[in-house]
Amino acid sequence: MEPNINEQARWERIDAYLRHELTGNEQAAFEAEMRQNTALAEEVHSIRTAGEMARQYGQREELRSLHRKLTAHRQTAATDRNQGLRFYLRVAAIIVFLVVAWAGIGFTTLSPGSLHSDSFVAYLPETTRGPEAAKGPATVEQAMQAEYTKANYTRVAELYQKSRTKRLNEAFVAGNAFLALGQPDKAAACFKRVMSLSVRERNFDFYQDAEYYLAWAYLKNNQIDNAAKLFDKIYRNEFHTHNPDVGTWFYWKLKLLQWKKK
Amino acid sequence: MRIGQRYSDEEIVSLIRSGKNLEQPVRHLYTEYYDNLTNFIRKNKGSQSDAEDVFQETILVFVDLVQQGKFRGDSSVKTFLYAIARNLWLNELKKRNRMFVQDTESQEYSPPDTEDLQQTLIRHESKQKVLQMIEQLGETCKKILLMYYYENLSMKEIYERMHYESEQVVRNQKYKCMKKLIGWIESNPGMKENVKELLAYGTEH
Repeated sequence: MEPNINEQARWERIDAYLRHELTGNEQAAFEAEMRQNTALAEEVHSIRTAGEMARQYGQREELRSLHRKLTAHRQTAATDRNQGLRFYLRVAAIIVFLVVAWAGIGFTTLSPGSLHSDSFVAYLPETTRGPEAAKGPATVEQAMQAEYTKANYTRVAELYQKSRTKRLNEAFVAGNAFLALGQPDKAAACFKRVMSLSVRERNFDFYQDAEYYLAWAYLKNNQIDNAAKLFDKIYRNEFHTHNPDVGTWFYWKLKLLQWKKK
Repeated sequence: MRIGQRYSDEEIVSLIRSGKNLEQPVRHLYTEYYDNLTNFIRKNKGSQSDAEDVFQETILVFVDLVQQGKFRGDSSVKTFLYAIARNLWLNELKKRNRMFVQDTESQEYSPPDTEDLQQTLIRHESKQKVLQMIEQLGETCKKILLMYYYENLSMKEIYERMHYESEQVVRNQKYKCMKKLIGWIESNPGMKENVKELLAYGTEH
């Protein structure tokens, strides 16, 4: 060992040797020196041990830090999952509440009147319809049609009451006028007459219309079962003129109304 | 970093042996085995905190054994980890005088050389105590020695990172730290050989 090299410089040289930082010749010279100098070999041994201790301590600390990072990450992920789940549960609860509230309100407010205002398709008179139209503007039916178009329903009712014949077309317009006037029992009587005259006269131009408006007359008159029978018939017959007016949603509301009234 | 990357047992062992980037294989071990192993501890009277500690220690032992070349691949990594965790937890329960371990689940994972494993765990525990010496050197020494011997930084790099007045000051500081550490090791007769054996650096590194 060189006497002029202090311990610190010697230890630095040992470190350089252990880290393979010496050149090939320096390395070989150092190893030769170690073989001859047991004290130096001992020092190399000590420094190697202490250095290895620091290296292994460093690795342990890195693994521990990694453990903290990974477990924290797992906890954060679990918390995020729970928070996400909680958020979706809240949204789902709000949706369920709104649906239940909406259904509850719908159920409590469901009545023949509410169904009428939501789904009733009013009769729109045509200027020419059936053989009666050919008889000229002076007929009772045409006068009634004219008054109905002007929404003068009371006048339509008066003309019908005065009519001696009370023909099929007149009865149909009158039925709709009575419906508009809020006299469903009179409206029902008119529509029934339309249906019976249709059969008798073998003229079915107004039969299905009468059937549809008779169902509404029953409904307005709180004869829900009678109304339901007719609406059910229209709903199931896809060729019925008013089948598109009796949708599935309306059909189920009607069923619910039937159940509510029982 | 390849997050979520799956490795074979051979790749895990090879990566750990290289010792260059432990994060990848360790991350894989956490992904694959954390739930099963911590569940095993919790089922056997361990708390969540016990389970986490045992898992951490299991990984430390496994990395150690792989780096010392003591994992020869006779059993799978899963079997080996389970055996380490089971033995670590048994030892801990013995310390706490609670011997009941519901062992049915772990029997299929027990490798035949359990006695060897027990010896290894005893050595591992002693080694952890020896490594605590670094802790006692103080924060500055710990940082310098770790940067130099673990991160393999040069004196210049350490000087730049720690903002010392000069590189020579770092050299002097490192010398003092080493002097202190070697002094502690040599003050105890037989300690140096014991430490060398515990660190087992002659085998792989």
